[in-house]
Amino acid sequence: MSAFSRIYTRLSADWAMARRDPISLYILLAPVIFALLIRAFVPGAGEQRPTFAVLDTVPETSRELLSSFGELVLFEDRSLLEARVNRPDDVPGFIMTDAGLTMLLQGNESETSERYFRMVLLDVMSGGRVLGAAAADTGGVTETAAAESMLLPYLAIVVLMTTVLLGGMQVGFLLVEDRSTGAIRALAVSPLRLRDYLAARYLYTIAQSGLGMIAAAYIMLGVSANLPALLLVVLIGGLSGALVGTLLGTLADSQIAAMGVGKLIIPLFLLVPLLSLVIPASFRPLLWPFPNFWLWSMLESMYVGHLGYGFGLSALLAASLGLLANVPLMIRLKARVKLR
Amino acid sequence: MRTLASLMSAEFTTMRRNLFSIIMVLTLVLTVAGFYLIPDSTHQDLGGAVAAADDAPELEAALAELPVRYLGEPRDPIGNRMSLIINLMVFEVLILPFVFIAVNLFQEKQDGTIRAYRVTPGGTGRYLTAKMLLWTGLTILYGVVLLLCTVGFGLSPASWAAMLLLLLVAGLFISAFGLFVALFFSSINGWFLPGISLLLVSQLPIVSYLFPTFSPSWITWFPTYRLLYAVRDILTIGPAGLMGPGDTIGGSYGYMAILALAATIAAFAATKRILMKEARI
Amino acid sequence: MISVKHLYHDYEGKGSFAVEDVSFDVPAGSIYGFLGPSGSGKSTVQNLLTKLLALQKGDVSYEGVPLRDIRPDFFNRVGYSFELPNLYTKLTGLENLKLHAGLFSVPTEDPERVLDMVGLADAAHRKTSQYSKGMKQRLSFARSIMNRPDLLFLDEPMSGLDPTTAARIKAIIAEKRAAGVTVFMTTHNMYTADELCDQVAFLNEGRIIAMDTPRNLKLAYGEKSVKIEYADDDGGAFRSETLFLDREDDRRRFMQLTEAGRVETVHSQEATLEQIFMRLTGRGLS
Repeated sequence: MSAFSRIYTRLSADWAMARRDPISLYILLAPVIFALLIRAFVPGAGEQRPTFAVLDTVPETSRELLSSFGELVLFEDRSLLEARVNRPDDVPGFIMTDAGLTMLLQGNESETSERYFRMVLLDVMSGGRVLGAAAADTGGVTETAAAESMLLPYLAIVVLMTTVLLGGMQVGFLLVEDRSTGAIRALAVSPLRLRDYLAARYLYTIAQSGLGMIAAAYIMLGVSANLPALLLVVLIGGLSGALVGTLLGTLADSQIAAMGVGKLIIPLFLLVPLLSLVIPASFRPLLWPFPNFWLWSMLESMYVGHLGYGFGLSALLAASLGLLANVPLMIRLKARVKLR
Repeated sequence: MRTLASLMSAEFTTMRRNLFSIIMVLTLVLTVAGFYLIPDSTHQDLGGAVAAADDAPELEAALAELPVRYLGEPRDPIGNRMSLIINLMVFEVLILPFVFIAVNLFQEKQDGTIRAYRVTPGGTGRYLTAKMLLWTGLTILYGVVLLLCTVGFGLSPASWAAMLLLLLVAGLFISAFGLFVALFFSSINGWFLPGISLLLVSQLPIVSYLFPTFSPSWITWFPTYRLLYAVRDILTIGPAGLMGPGDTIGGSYGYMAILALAATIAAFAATKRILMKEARI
Repeated sequence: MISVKHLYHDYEGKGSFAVEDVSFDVPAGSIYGFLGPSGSGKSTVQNLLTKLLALQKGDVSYEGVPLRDIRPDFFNRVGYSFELPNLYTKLTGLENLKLHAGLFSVPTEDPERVLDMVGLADAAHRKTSQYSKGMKQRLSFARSIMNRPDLLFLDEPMSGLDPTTAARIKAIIAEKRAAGVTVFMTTHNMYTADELCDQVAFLNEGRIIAMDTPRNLKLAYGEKSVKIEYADDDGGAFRSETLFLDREDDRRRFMQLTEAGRVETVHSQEATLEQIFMRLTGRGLS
């Protein structure tokens, strides 16, 4: 039997199991559901406006000016307004005092938010003549908006990375299940080779999670999803997914142990690239050995486009590091599952 | 008492033999390394923060003189390291029982030991209590160790007390909730994606943390949202938040306690109806 | 000790009974055997008696106390050895017994002594995931006697055991009876039942078809059986049959074979419980 037909046989066995088992449907649906949730609840660029709690004694003219910067929530009772301001989110209150229009803050607002709220107040107090120029001078408002406009692409990147991770973990779990139930021993006395076995599993998962990723990307980003580049991400991401799956299959001999290993892998897989956003550039080489960092970098250059490594280089490094890291793991796994 | 001790010891030993200790130590080492690795500059929003501009002194002066009143104490900006710990306390420490109570349940289901337990005088109550106590205890321990390795020595005794109490109520809620969810699945394979998806969705309040103006009312009902801000306030302004006008912490205790009670009742009912009725093999 | 009246159980609620109109009494300090092939309802009855399954129809009582009034404390007096040994696989044999002992509020056995009794002293510190099937079975049995029960439920206790180990377990069961323990045992092994049980019930398709002491059953159904070996029609392979000479058709078959001159050996024998079961049901026990 040729390698191809062996892989095909395994693929059809996996498909047959998948149809009876909702699990692999989840891997297809999970990214789509995440994407729909994000689309429904997270505002896109320019859509996010702050909330202002306003007492009804604030004059109409001030209210009108305020409403050009955010959504107003009117309060008749000052104590209710204070309660709103006191909630942990950043919502300022506006009341009238002897000093005229006065802003109430809780004191826990972020520096960025407070500065923005102060500028809004300044603008309203000057009758709307300050902010246009001031914003241009300081970048205060525009930068806040810019930060928020990146929320959606970054969330999209996290969803796509998560799908790669979940796909890999899914294969890992099936591998561990085959090990712990002894099903793999039945395979060991067939002509199946480990690489065919794994190839079938990974191809199946890449196909499934790939479909989910593409659907999710289009839901979240529309036409800017960039299909050809995304297909490359799916394929190269498969290597990072394989790394996760093989790592699980090698380290864990029971599903409970796999979950433990998974608990370590999940944050590593997602946090390593996220760290690149907060650490100084001089620390970034620490992240270079991780193929998932380069996968992230591919997606970042596709959807955010400001990191500077470029799509091509990131793709090349994600692919080669992914391949390189898989080799020793496969050898180790081979020894552990005793397949040829 | 003896039953509880036996059940807890069996569960803990099972976990230890499933790489649990190694995983926890490794996670802790990585976390602490991450803590000391990242520079402790002020928290920056994605895409760059708005630092005070030096090139517009007049504007700065005007902004500073505005009629602004603070309901609570104005607070120093929170650094990256503290932000990391705040998020880890919620999304690492407090999800511990959610994951591990589930995997342990699946190990028991696979071994079939619940059938053997059912023909002892144990009962559902003690079974549930043992699990919740063990995982809440481990959660508290993990949280304390993580704090001691990072920001713990700077905390006042009152903050420590507030934090322990929060870990206790939240730990009870999350372990009961984790068990309740897991009871509806027959194996870890079935639980895996729904369970992990639930965990990922529960992390959405991180978005609010990064963009504090993003806080639609639906997100404020997420237990993780309340916990995130309660942990933030305990670690940064101390339990003063309990008494002050911002009732973040106090409100979170009440909310968590209600959730813990509801989750315990639900977990008890589900354990009795689903787990303790599985007889045919 | 145990009284069961008109017990029924329907798993699917569609009128097909796994157990149908089963009634029997188990006297204190005796061993009661439930014999039947797989799927005959033995385990269902045992699960109903121990509340692992909810009682649907019929009455079960212990020393006159109805099952529904039985409180969890009652299980301090009960031991249960499962057919599929359900052990904590990540725990050692000794740890499994210690854990189990901790679940009772009555004095318990020394786990090491019990392990020694069932021949597992050497494996005490090995994880049970590394145990063989027979070792797991023995550990499950050991677990069932940890709380010094006076009511012992054994589901196929000899399954997977080699003859020497089986003899050891049988000796323990006999000792327990001598000490006043009531034993309810399901098995499809007729020799075990014959050797150990004071009373046996034959269960077939959820119904009790005969119930008595093994000796009485043999006296009632087992006379005049012969085991006959003969050459096949084409003179090839040997075949054997057990024939009951008090039956018209069996007698005719015996004559037919002897007249054909193909008989090689004839042994008269006392019928085994299995043969009696076959005679009553037309099917074997295993």
